[in-house]
Parts: sequence; C-alpha cells; structure tokens
Amino acid sequence: MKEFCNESAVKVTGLSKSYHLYDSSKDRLKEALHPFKKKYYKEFYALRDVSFDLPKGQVYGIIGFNGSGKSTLLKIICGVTKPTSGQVEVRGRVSALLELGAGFNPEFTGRQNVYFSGILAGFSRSEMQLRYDDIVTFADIGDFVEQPVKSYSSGMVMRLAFSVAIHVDPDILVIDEALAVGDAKFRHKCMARIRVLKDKCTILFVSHDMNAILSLCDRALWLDRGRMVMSGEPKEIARLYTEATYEGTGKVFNRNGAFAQETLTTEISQLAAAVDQGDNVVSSTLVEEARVDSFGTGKAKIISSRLVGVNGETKKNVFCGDQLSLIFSMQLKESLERPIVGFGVADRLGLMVMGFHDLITSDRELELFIQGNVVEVKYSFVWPDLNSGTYAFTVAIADGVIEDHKQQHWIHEAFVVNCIREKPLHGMFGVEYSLDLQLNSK
Amino acid sequence: MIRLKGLCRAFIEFVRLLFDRRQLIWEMARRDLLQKYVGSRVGLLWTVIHPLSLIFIFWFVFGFGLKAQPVADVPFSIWLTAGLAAWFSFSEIVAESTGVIVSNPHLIKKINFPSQILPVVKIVSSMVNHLVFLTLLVIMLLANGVPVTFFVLQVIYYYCCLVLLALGISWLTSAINVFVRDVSQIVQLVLQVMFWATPIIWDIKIMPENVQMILRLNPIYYIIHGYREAFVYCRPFWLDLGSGLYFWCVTLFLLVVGALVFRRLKWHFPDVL
Repeated sequence: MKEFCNESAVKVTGLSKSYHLYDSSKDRLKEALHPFKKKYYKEFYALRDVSFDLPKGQVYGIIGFNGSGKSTLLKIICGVTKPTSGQVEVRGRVSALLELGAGFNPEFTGRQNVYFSGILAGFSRSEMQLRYDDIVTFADIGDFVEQPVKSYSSGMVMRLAFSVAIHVDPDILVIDEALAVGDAKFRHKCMARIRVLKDKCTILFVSHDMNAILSLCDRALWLDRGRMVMSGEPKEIARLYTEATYEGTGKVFNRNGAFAQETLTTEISQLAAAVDQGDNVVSSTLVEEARVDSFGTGKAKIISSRLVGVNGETKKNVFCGDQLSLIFSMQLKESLERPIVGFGVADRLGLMVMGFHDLITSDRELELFIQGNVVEVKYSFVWPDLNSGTYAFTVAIADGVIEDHKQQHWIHEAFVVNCIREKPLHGMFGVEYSLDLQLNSK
Repeated sequence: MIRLKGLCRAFIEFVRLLFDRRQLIWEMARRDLLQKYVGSRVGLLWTVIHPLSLIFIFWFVFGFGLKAQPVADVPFSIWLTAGLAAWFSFSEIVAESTGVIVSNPHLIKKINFPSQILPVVKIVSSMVNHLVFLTLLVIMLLANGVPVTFFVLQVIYYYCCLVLLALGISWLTSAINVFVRDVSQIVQLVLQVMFWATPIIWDIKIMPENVQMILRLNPIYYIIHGYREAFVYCRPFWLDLGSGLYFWCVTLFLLVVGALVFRRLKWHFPDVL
C-alpha cells in the first residue's frame, strides 16, 4: 500500500519553450551580446503552455508523436535547458536517461564512467564503491566494463547508463525512450526494477510502446506539437492515442498550430463517450485505391471494405471474442463464371495469421456475379485470442478454380485494426488451458 | 549599488559551488591529466620533462648563446625560469580553457552540469605542471647558492593574481568559442605574440622609458615581474602599490565581464554544440 504524499514531485505551470532558429551561430552570438536586444531569429515553439502537477511516488507515461515536445519537456525538468516562460518546480534528486550514455566520456572505461557519473550526481567515491558491484551486475556487460565506452554497442551503453541511473537513489527518475535499444531480456529487467522503484521515487517515462505505458504507468500525459492534449488514465489515453495514429492524420491541432478546440472537443468527446460505452468506436475507413497496394485483371473491382461489430458499427479496436463481420463490396465490370472470394489477416510484420478463400458454387449465389452488379461479401467470425498489435486485412476476388485462377482484384492490407489484449502474450495467440498440480506418487 | 550587491552574491554563490563540487572538480582534474598521458609509456614524467627542456633551451639560446648577463647577482637562468614558470601556467590555463566547453559536449548537452567550473578544472590540473616548475626553480636557487628568502612565499599571492586573471579571460574565451570556433585559434595566436611582447625572456630595461610605460600596461607583466620579485629581487609586493592597484582593476574588470558573458551565453550551449 503506497503512502499517498500530498507533495508534488514535479509541478509545471504554463511552461513554454521556444527555440530560436538562427541562420548561423554567429547570429546567435550577436543577439546574445547585443546591447539593444535586436532579434535575429525565427521562433519555433517546442512547448506551449504546458501545466501539470505530479504527486510523488507514481509512474507517469508521456506519449506523443515525434516532435511533440516530449524530450524538450524532460530536458527542462532535468535542468538542462531553461524554459522561455512558465515555471517548473522539481523536488528531489533527478536521475535522467535522456540520451544513451549522456555524461559518459567515450575515452574512459565503463568503470571510470560509473564512478564519474556518481560524482556528477554528488556522491563521494566511497559511496560509489558501495554501489559499484550492484551497478555492474545489473548492467550485465561482463568484462567490457574495463573497456573504453567508445567500444560498446548501443545496447551496452544503454544497459550501463540505465544501471547507473537507477542505483544513485533518485527521487525522480526520467527515462526518455532510451529503453528502445535494449533487448527484450533487458527491457524486462528494467520494467521489473522500475516496478520496485515505484514506491520510493517518481518516474517519468517516455515511450512509444503502448504496452509499456499500459502496464507500468499510473497516469499518462499526451503531448501533441508542444501542447498537452490530455492527462489521466493510461488505458483511455493509450486508446485515443492509437486512434489518432491509425486515423492517419494524428492532427489534434490544425496546421498553423492553432489549438483546434472544436474538432478536438467533438472528436475526443465522441471517442471518450464511445470508450465509456464499451469498446465500439465510431470512425470510418473507406478504401482509397490510390493509397493501397492492389492488383488484378479488373473484371471485378472491390470498392469498399470494413470490419463491423454486432450492431453494424465499424470496428477499429478488436478484442478476443468479438463477433465481427468483414464486409466488402465489389463492382462487377464483367460477369464472373467461377468466382472465388477470400480474405487474409496479417500481423504487423506481414506474417499471415489467417486466410480463407471460398469458391462460389450454389446457383443462387452465382447469379449475383453478373456484369453491372454490386455484390456485398460478408464474412462473419469471432476474433481469436491473438496477441495485441495491429493487424491488416487483405481482401480479394478471383475467378477460376483453386489450382488455376486469375485474381480479379486483390487489395493488400486494405485496412488495419488494432487488437487489444489486456495482458501481453508471449507468442502469436492464446488458448484456453487449465493447470493441474499433484504429487508424483512413485 | 544594486549591481554591486548582485555581483557579490554571485561571487559568494560561485565560491560555494566550488566548495560543494570540490570532489567533482578534483576528479575531473585528475582525469584531465590522465587523459593527456594515457597510453604513453613515459606517462606523468612528461610533466617534468617539458619544463626542464624548455628551461634548458631558453637558457642555452639566451644565457649561453647570446651571453645574457646575470641580473641582480642571480644567474640569468634563474631569472628566466621564474618568469617562465608564471607564463607557462598562465598560457596553459587560457589556451586549454578556451576549448573546454567545446571538447565536453557530453557534459553540456544532455545533463545538468555547472559548466562554469570547467575553467577551474583546468586551473587545478595545471597546478601540477606549475608545482614542478616551481620545484625546479627552488632546486636551481639552492644549487646556485642563492638565498631562498621569505619573499618566496609571495609567490602564493602572485599565483592568485595569475589564476584570477586567467579565469576571467577563460570564461570569456571559452563561452565565445562555442559560437565562433576561430576564437581558439585567435587565442593561440595572441598568446604567441604576448610571449614575445611581454618582457619574459628579455628585461624591460632594454626598452626606452616611454615604451616601458606602455609595456607595464600589460597585466601579465605584473605577474611575471612579481614572480621575479619573489625569487630574484626579494622585494615585497606592497612596494609597488600603484601597479598592484592597476592590475587588480584590470583583473576584476575582466572577471566580471567574463562571468557575465559566460552566464548569458551558457544557456545557449546545449543548442549550439
């Protein structure tokens, strides 16, 4: 049971950071020393009016597209840069992993860098001596600790840097996407250690990995183009964020940077309301031919495809056990004698997870495939227990027999859906199983 | 009046920073030295060989070759070494400090580091060379039967003068060098010129009076001459109050300007490096 401390660990009010883009560094110098403060720059706002208050002892996830200002926010919290306006209050010792091996001198060995990082953090040599063994054991880089850091792979640098960062008794631990470089085994170790540290310190965690955010964070902050979109429950925010990603727009703010209040409110409140109801999210996906990868002789042309749920609403997020229907419509330019319909589902690596095709044989159905008709194909099925991630649907219409057929229209990855599984799986799919334990009487 | 108070406070803050981070400064100075000689076989012995060979060359050329005369009953080599000791320390500090920000991007760009202590680190690491030089000097004094008087302790005062002058200049040059990399080249050039333009290896008295007056405007000369006063002429520093006052005005001015410039430019470092 964590003690709830009323004190904030990090408090940010009206924080803005603008970068001055200069034509050359000489201009920057001229401006800094000019007695009349003449301006030589173009203004770029990395952060605009961000405010939040993080109480102690929790894990906060910060998400946002590239360029949304996450790293700038962290730099300001760590004291590397000063804000242009606004205030930031940080209570306690900050240990940060802002970049691989920041503070590491590449010419010196791992051992020397560990000691030096400790001294940078304000520890004495003897205090570092006590921690040294733990740091090296956790980093698990073997004898390389005696080699100069410049000879390390990026994974080793990260392991050592992370190990140092967590062993210097931080009050606030800041991790900026640095974990992306580690292998799965090390990432697991880090996550486990972060869970242990949670009680003693506040953790700010930037990641694009939604699973990490969902499983570790107590609260999430969503930044978009320098502004805070929302902060709150990680589940909710992760879902809305993924929505925004797959919409392909990701535009929460319109082009000139003005806060698109209307659009945002309607979209988000719609989505939020939908989220409240369950998991049916309203959005549309129409196949745009220009965008997708398709081929075929063209006697039939698939004009739309979508995945719908029980009530006919289009699905973007799917869960194990969902009753789904894949509906795609095609326009017949010419009659097809021996139509074959089919679809496939591939995971994010392109691996075909499942695929089906069916020859149309019954008279009633064959009658539909006459020139000029628009035929709607509906495959109804239950979504299996697949691992979380994105899955792409491929749809196709062909003519002929299985051994010898011509594709009329095949659309590769016509649309994608996001499969959400609360607990991550090892492997591609899950099964129902039971576990029995007993004494082996021999 | 207000600005003066602010300056005093800033000064006290800086001294406190130096005290708080003394372990860090010490560690960095250690590394600075190790880095210079890592991988070399002779190692730290170079800190002795360098000054020795320099003294020898200058003595050979000026003392032996050009037959310079003893000054104030003290062999020319000793008079020379006293001045050289001061000069080499000063030029080492300034030359190395100018590039110190640029050569440590990993400390400036991604972590919260008090970069104003970096020139101080260079000062500490240069103390080793300086001590070697001074030790050689004392050995030379003893070897030549020259009395080592209490005036030698004045070297502490003059070393403080040296350090503070070097610090003010270093803050200025190291900060500007981040933006205009030519500065390190310019500094090297200026130091070269200063070496010959300052009466270090030649006596100021060979110049006419009016030229001497101009030469005395060089604050570095006060230090060079001070070292000689301590070891050779055995004169107390309070006898030259006028030049002392002048020196401190120049030095304090440079310190303040250097600190202000550094402070203003400091926040731009991570963006430019």
